[in-house]
Amino acid sequence: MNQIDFITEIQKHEPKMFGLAISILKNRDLAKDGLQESAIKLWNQRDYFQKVKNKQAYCMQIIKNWCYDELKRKVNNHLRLQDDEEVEEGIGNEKDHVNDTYRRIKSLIEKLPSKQRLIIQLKDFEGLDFEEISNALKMEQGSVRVNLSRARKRLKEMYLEQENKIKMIQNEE
Amino acid sequence: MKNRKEELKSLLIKFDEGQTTFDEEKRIKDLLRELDAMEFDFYKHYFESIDFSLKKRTEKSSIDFSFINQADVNQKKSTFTSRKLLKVAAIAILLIGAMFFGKHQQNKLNQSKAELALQQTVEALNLVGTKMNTAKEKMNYIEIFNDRTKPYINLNQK
Repeated sequence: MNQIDFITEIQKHEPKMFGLAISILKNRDLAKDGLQESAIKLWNQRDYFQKVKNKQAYCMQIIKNWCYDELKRKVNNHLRLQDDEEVEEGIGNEKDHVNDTYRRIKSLIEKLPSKQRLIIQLKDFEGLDFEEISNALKMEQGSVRVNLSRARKRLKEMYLEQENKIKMIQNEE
Repeated sequence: MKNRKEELKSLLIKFDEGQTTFDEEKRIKDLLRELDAMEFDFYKHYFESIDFSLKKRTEKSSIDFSFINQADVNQKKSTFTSRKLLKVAAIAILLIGAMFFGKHQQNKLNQSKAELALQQTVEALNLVGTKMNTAKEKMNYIEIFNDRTKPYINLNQK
């Protein structure tokens, strides 16, 4: 595998790899570190990587392992991952509403159990299909579907609860 | 309108169960935009968030691929060093080989010279031995002659 083929291949999977890393680590800088480290690892084993049939699944596996190792390292060192505070800023006035909605939905997603959160992120926000998620997380597709369903339903419940609270507050005022 | 609402409702049930395809999800988005009803607010906001998330993901590649060139340079360097070492080793082996071969040949030559010298010495000694034997035999005749002539010739006795 030559340099150009390698770079093209990695760039093809980069957005999804980044999405997975963000979903696990919840930190952009760390996710970028993960991408970099994974790319180096893949380059070092390029002869094997060339023979891998499902390259995307393999890339996802590599970055997922890196992310979990990183989490373990943080736990072992008694460090806490610093979540990205800003979801998005400065998009423009006309998009403020969408930006707020996005922040709200994202904050609700953060409250989901980790597996559900990861799956809903990968499926809906990163655009992976069931097979890709199943390969990346080493889970049965049925299990992925069940977790996705639970996540969407729970998210809807939380959203409606929040809506009701807002309405109650508005009525009181 | 009612049909579309029913269609949307049934698609949303499928969506909640995680059973929708990408095409069906696209249809849900279209219907949400068309119907714009309060009861579907959650889904509307949810799909808006997804679109927003996908749109903002326009970052350039964050992977720095310069490590590839670095790895190549290192590899070339190490290849160059190994080649150089191999050349030196090959030359050294040739020199040592030539030295041993030369020494061996020299030894062989010396040995053959020594053998020739030994052979020639042996031959010379053999020749001397043969001559000595002949001389000794001739000396025997003198002794017989002396013995025989002794009674008659006594020149030395006074």
